[in-house]
Amino acid sequence: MSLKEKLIFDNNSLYLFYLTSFRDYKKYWFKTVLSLVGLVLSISLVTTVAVYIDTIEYYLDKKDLISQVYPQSYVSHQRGSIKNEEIRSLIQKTSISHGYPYKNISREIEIDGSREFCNIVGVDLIYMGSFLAQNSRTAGKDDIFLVSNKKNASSEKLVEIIVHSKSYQVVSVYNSDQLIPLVVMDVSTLSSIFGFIQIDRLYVEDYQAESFDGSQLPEFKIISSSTGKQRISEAFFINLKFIGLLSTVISTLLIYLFFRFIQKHRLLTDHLLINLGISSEIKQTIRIIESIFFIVITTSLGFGLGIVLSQFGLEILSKTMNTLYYSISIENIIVRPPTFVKSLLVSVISVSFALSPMVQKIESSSLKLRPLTKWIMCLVFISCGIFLIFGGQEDQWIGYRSMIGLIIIVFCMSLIVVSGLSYVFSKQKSDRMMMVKTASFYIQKEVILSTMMIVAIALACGLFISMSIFINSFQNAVSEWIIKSTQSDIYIQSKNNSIPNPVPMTENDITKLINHPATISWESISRDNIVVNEKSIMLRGIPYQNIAKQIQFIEKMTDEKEYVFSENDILISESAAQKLDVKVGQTLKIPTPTETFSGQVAGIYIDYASEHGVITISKKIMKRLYQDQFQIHGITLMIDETQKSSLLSSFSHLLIQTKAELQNYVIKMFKQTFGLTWILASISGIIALFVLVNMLSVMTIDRRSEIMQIFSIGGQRLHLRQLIFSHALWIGSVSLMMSTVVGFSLALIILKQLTPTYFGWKIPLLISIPPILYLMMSMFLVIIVTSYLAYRYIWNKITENIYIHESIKTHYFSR
Amino acid sequence: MNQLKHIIFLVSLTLVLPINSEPSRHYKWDFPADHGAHHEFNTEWWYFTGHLTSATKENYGFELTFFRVATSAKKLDANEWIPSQVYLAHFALTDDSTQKFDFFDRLNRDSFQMAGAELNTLHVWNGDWRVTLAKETIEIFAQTSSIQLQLQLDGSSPIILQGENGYSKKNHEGSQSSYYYSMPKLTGVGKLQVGNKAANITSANVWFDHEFFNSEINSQNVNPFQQSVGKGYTGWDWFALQLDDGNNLMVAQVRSGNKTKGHYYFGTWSDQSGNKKQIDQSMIEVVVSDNWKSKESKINYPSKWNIKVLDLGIDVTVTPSVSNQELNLHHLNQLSYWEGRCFVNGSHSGFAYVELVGYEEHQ
Repeated sequence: MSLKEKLIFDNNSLYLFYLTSFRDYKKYWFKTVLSLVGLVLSISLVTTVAVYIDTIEYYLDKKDLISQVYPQSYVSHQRGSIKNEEIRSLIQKTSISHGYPYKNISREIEIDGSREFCNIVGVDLIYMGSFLAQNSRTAGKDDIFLVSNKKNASSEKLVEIIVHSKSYQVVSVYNSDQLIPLVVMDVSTLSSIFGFIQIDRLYVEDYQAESFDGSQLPEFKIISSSTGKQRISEAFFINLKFIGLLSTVISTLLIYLFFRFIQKHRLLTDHLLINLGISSEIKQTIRIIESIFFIVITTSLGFGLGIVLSQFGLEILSKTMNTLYYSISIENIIVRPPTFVKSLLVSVISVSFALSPMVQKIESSSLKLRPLTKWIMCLVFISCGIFLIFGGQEDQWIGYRSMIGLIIIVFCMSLIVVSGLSYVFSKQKSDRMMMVKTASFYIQKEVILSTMMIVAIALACGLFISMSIFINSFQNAVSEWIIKSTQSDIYIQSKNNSIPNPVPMTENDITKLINHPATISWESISRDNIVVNEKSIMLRGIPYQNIAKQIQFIEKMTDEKEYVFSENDILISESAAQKLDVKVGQTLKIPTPTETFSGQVAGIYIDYASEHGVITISKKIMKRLYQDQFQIHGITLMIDETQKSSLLSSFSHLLIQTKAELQNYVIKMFKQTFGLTWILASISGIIALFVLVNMLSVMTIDRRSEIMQIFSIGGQRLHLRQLIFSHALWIGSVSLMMSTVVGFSLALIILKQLTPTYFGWKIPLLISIPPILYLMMSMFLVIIVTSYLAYRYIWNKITENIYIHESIKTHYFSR
Repeated sequence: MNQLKHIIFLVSLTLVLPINSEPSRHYKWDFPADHGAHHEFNTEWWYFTGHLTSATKENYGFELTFFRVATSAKKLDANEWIPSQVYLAHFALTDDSTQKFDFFDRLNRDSFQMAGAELNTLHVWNGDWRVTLAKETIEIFAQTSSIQLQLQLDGSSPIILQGENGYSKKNHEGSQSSYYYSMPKLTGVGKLQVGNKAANITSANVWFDHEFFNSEINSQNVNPFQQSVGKGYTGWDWFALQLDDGNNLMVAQVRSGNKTKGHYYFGTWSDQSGNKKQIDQSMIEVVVSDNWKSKESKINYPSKWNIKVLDLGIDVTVTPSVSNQELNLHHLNQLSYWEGRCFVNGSHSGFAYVELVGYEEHQ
């Protein structure tokens, strides 16, 4: 007995797997690769999103100086800052007996002659200093330290910094993690230099934090940095997560169809194995080995590709995050074990679903159901889908619920359309429609499988269509908004001014700018990040004179166009209105350094600057409320065009943009924000085409025996070509129709449900034809090419044994 | 060690201190006012060490000390974070039955009265750790995440002025001195909670020391311990013995690096009525008979002593109840010292608290 035979008779499952399943994969290698590519890409999408989330969370939660030394808990005020008298109240009225201050600001300061953007932190330097004392060198509490990753930084070196025209000698310290320079000083020094009298946080003993009873001071809350990890913005990742979810569903369907195809071609092998005495347990083991084989391949390739994709997108991610969300330094991607587990899980679920005999059993049982039962089931599922989309509360799960609802509805609708069309074609009497009728017969014969195929194509193509609609609508809305919002000629701000880190302009610069010969008139913008009802919101102070011209209102106090806003009116962006649940006419309380300002909400306007929301008050009011802490973060100028070049060249240390430049910059920023979505949506488009190629070729090759039968009973080349093309066009047309349905439905769900929930914006739907047209043309091309190739393949296979078919034909017609 | 920490190591507690007054032998003591803070001196401490026995006969030792260090900064109304005084506090508990020693320390500035000391009475606090004289009762309170101690002590016990009329010389040369008085045996009761275990303290015998002086703390060439005893001295060993016969003995050995001069000794014997005898250099003999090496700081501390004051007929052996009673400070440049509850045997028996400072110099 040879070794091979011995292995077979010893029931060696691994070797049997090699002899049976593995050979099938080799035989249908192209189909295997196509099927696996879909799942590999899906896993890579899931991995990429998980890696991005982990990376941002890692850098947000990275233990800084404070968390290494201070206690884990801190007290913060609803307003976002704590006044001296409030600290006193805390100590007198609550379990808090003492604490350690923390104040963080961002500024551009002059370091060794060059202007640099820095984070400046005020702490209890006596506490920290002695806590971490490592060296005999001594310094007083008045010392200032500059931590940076500059190569020439060392603890021995004194560096000069200039703040408010005053020079300070600071001790330079090198730290490789410190991309943005950090200036550390005692909180009392910070107060003296910058004039702040309020702190951001008071770090307190953990046991005192536990027994804190804030009933007397409800505006305070305790936050534990050990438990209260910073969560990243859901809004940024929501689209990416959905792409990952949908592509996983698509890939699962793809793999399922692939296995069904393989199994059909394995019937003979299975019979052979049974005759050879292979037990059902061994067959089961082979199935398990097959699953593991696929899981290992798809997980490792998908995970690896995901890491590569993450690395490529890192720069865009870092830039977007710093401009719109947080001030963080992202150096490298962070890959955590749960990310691998997620990838593995996607693979395991997909492969298990595809290989599960139970799913196949359900499929075959469903086919045997009475038509009425089928209809009732369909209607029940459609109702469930509608409920998932439109029922329930608008919470964070709304997006996921809507997606699942949509998938269910698409499946049922596709089933109804396929059954309906098959029925219509089956009633055709015309000879010219014979092959279409035959194709319909085959499709109806395995209606669930055919529907699955259509759903897979529709989801993949629909995802691409919806993303193109969403991004196009968003960009259009932003373009309109920025054009309306920018009425001045020139916009000036500090180079490092950003949404998370407002950097004020210096008084010197402001004076020079407004007195420049080019300046005809000027306006200023002031900002602060505040907390209203425990929610972070941007407060903006602008002049109210021309407010109606610069702001695109959604709703105003009265419908009259000439409504004149008073200085005490508050205007809020739609995301702020949604976040704070505030309507026009209601009163809003805004905490400020001097008092809580109370005003009426006189208008809700469009503002895509921040998903966190913006509250706008008049500059006069802001100046009164902030007093000596009032700062200007941006200047807009109307200028004499002839002197423009002189103005631009005089302030090279500032970010000066013309109207057009600012508009382009904002649009570019939004494009950049959705750059990652575009990349992943394009991948989903590629998956869609893979699905299409795979489905059509599988279906055609799968019907090889039936096509051979037709040839044997006299079917001509033309008939076969007609059959294959009508089959492909049949599936393709329905898929295209369902893709459009999915694309538009998904776009509506994203724009009408998700965007208002996650971003607080209601974006008008705008269809962009070119990407949809390109996709449809690509689909059509793929249908034609795939059908032609499939036809060639089938024809070659049939004509290999032409004599057999001829004899069958002779026998058939001579009966 | 993270590089970032290097920004901070540079800041030690060395502040530029004002020196407003010098100790003298002719000070007029006035109690309870002198229990309060003396801002004319830049350094001051209130030291409470004691032996506790619970209703279930479990024995504990504790230490609660408050330190005040003045800065030269002036407080401004608009900038309340400017510290004019900085307060440190140490709290330690020794549990004989479990042989466990717990230590906590704190550092707070006087901003918002988070820490402070009243001027004319005994009321010193650091966060929620505090000692208050209320009528004739001294109340002690300290708590952490795991321990809470509450004691009520009889504040009418005798006050013993150390040295000459409370003027205590700290070295041979007299270059460093302090005002120093003790209340060697404050008795009372209280409550102790350790984790989930609550104990009624039926007997508390507490030794209270109060010292204030001007430290050369801004000197760059001496460590914080030397700043209390003068240049050329490496540290000190302080013994506070509460003897079973009701008498008390304080002995201090200021260690000198100069072999010719030898160590500097001073001490006081006192009885329950407040009678006292000053003990000078020639009367004291301290011999170390054992050592203990800290695994954490790697410092080798003396761990058993034979103390003789033959003129008073005292020849005792002092042995720690728990070997590891080392305090590794989070503050004060992460220095370490040993201070703990000890047993006294020999010619007299009783309990003691021993403080060993400045031993890392020898590593």
